[in-house]
Amino acid sequence: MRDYRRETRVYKIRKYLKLGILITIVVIYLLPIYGMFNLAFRPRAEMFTGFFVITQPTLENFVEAYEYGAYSAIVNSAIITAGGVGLALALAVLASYAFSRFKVKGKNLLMFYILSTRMMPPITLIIPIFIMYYTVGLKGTYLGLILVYGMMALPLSVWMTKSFIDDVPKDIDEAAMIDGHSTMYILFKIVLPMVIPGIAASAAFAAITIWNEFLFALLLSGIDTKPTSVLLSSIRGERGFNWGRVAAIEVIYIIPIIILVFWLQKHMLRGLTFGTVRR
Amino acid sequence: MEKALIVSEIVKKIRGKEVLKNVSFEVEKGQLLVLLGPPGSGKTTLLKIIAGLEKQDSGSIYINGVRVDETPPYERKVSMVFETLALYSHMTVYENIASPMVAEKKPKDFIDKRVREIAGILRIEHLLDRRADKLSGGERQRVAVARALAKEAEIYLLDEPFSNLDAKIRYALRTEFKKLKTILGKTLVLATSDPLDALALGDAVVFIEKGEVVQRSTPVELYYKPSRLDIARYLTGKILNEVIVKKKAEGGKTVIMSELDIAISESVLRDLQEIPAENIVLASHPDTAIIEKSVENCDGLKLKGRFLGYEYRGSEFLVFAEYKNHLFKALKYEKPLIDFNEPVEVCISREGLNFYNLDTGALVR
Repeated sequence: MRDYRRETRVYKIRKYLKLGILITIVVIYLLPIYGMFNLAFRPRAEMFTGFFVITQPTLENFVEAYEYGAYSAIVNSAIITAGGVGLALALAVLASYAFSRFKVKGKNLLMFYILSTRMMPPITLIIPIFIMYYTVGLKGTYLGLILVYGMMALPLSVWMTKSFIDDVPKDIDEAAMIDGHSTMYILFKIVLPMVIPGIAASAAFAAITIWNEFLFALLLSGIDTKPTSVLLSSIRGERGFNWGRVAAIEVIYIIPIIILVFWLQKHMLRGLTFGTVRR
Repeated sequence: MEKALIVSEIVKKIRGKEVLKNVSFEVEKGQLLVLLGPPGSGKTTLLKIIAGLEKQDSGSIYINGVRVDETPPYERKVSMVFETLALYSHMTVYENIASPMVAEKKPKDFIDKRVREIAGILRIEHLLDRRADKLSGGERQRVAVARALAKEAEIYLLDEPFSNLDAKIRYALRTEFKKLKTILGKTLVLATSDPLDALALGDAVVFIEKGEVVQRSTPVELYYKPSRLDIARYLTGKILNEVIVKKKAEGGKTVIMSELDIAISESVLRDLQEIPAENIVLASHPDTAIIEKSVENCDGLKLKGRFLGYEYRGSEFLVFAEYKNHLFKALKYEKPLIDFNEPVEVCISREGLNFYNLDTGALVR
């Protein structure tokens, strides 16, 4: 006879064991983020006394971050990210619509080539780009950074956008053609509004890539165009390293990305599985 | 009669495979022609070629006597309802219907008047402000037809307009469509895989199979005299009565033989003698067969079997009898008062009999 009581007990133990492991993993992942927030609101005098509890939370680190130029760096990051994402998506939408709808010779090869550019280590490109930018005067400009980031985000944007456009039945385009609409009208007024969630997901991925980028920003930005990632690497205090200020800048730096990910998480998940999921 | 559409010797290959083989037919002005055929027979491809969305490898399309092979879709004066309906889901019903007129840059007042007029005909005025993705199946179907009608076209193409709908809505829409067709008086080409659509709506039916036109006739002719056995089977589903007979010459006489113990009337025997084929399938619809406890005066085929039961079909009963593992069916308007397994007589009347060559499947009489 089966011992149902024993089976239920074993099932419960397994369930709680799994839950325990999951909670441990989540805590391990969240601990550094907690530490960052904790340091950001901690007064300098209490910086290294106890980890979990803050007795007197303060905003002084954020004031110091402002004085150090964190907010203008955030604005720089935002300008460069918005520009890069805009450029990447503008090109990606046109390219992916063409790849999705028209007969393009060597389509698969071209698509693979586009993706392969993404596989190249960025460091191999930095010297030629640096020399080129220096020569034409793009070094230290927003435009220079927007161009390089636009190109960097383009391959993944093309692939993702194409997968979303592929999901729109070709009949939609054909119906619009019979109605008498032009190709551009069909793309921008009919097909694109249907894939807005997909475009948003592509934009989010591109934004995260650009927002977090450090190497190109370090070499190609100037004093006035320095983004947050570069600012963070160059922090020095007069009286040693100011951890509170660093944490405050990090908090300001991370919040827009957290908001973006939470806002678009559903679409981003779909974006991550592009090519494998069909609606 | 003036021809609204001429499809002439259309050949189309897709990835090296011929999906349309020399397809030709004509549609008269104001006529509703049904392209009937099993799924994958090339109906949609043909409609797309007529609309200019796909290009044929050879052959020509004439609309109102003008050859349109090189004319782009929007200049062909053709409108289309797609099988997927292809509604612009992010737009309202109003915007969907207005779309062809917006493309033609018609004045706003004109568009508004026409949208409301068409919506009135299709009884969707109350949906005009609703987004297309918030509609039910039947409503979506109506909106798709409305959008197609909003374009001033010479020919309206409809690709499986009643598919993906449940039987009740399908029936209702079919009836409405019949009314609509009379009101509008337009030339329509409807592609469907459902024989009921063809029989209920068509002025003429073109049967397509594997990219070939197999038969062109009126719906009644198609139903009662299908040119091939497989068409007859397709049209009736699996309720066709079939009996195989073989002719053999023995001692200067032709002997008719069947694996079943059948009484064949003199008239049918004469018919069989005249037919220039050796293996023949005698096929008939259940509405020309009788299954009763006893049948007097049967001019046709008569056999004895056992009563298996019946299926109630709303207005009639489909009655089943079995004989030597063969199932025979008859339509009856009253409930049969026969017990299960009781002996019955089956009579297939000569009037409804079609004779097919078993080897080629072609209608021989």
